[in-house]
Amino acid sequence: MDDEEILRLYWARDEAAIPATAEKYGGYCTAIARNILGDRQDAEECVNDTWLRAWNAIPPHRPAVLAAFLGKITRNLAFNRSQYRTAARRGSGNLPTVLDELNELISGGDSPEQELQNRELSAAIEEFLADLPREKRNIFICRYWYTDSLADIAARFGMTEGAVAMTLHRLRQKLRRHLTERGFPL
Amino acid sequence: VTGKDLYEALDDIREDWLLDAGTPPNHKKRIRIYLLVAACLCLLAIGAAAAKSGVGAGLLQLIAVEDDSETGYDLLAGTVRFPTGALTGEIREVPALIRQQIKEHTPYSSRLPNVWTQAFPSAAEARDYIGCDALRGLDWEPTEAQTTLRVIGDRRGRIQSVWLETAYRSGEIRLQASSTLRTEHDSGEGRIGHRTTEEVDFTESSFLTANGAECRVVTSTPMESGYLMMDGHLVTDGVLYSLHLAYLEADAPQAEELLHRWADLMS
Repeated sequence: MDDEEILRLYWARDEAAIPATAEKYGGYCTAIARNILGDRQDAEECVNDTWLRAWNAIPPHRPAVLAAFLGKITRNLAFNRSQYRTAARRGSGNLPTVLDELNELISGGDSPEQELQNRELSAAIEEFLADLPREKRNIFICRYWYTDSLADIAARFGMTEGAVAMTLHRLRQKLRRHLTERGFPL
Repeated sequence: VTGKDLYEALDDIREDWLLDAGTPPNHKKRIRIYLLVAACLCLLAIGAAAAKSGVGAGLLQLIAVEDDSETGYDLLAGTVRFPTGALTGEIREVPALIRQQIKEHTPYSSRLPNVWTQAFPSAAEARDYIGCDALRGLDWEPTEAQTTLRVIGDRRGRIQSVWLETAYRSGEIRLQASSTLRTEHDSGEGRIGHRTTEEVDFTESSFLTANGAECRVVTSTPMESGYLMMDGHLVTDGVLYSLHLAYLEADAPQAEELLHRWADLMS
């Protein structure tokens, strides 16, 4: 079923929208959730929550790209669940490692203009990604958006894990320079 | 700004990029296709030559790599895949050690579980540990500094390749001599090369050693530190030998002399 047809079901408040979404995007969203949470059961609950959020959001929302819309919901739900869970202990998904890697390029500390800074930060990151060659941008997004493991990225791009780690290290250094030059306190 | 801020800020990136990254590519980069075709053609040629002359394969193809974050080069080396039975030293204990590393590996470990590394007091002791007749030693004047053995295995611990590197020093010239031996369990294409984040140009050349073997040479323009790089590669009896030199412009004649001397000794 194509996305337009699935969206039509949502807008008609037809519950068939949920299984249609699950059939088409279940694997995609489950992969995102499992990368972050590591646990199959947690991931499945997270994906079920995604369908509920989508049901509540559409209408009035009409996402231009359904896959990205669902993926973002899943990522946020999984991230929140992981944060809640890891408040007590470290989780077994890739997220703690990914956050550690991103933390390498900053020294911490809150800004009083956090919200404004976050918007500017998003814009700066998008500018950084726009200047990357397509493959490097995809490697970065696979790691830091999809939370893919190094092994999965290596297999996907025909690289060794060491080469992926080195590429990501260089990209983080480059992002650090990019953000520092634009005045972000790292 | 925290890592969490960066993670959350990524949430707003363009959706077409998300889909692009989330969809496996239908084809690999053009350069990789070129590499594959080049490798196949060259391996066919090498196979025919080896069948005719009975000698080991040589170095095949140089591919320059350059993008906005790194420069470097790749070489395809047509080395022999030795049966693991050709490794007769204590290295035969390594598969069990690799299997143990794989078993004990945790997702947070920065160490690759299938790579086993050990330092040796001398290159000669490391060669004894490997116990392969085809592996040549290097007996020359530069001062030997340290020797590292790296063994790469597959998930079952079977040895895929053995890499032995010894650092030397001759005045201000730094040298790293390495030997790479691949086994029957290594299905890779035998690519070697060098990468740097600095913007340098690489030039390829070759010369014949005193024994008539071809030594492929890749030299760089100076790096920010003022050092230049020169790599020599040759294949003898199916083993790949490489020498990496870092030197200042004033030492260029001596570095070139060392490279030629090394190549004569290893061929």
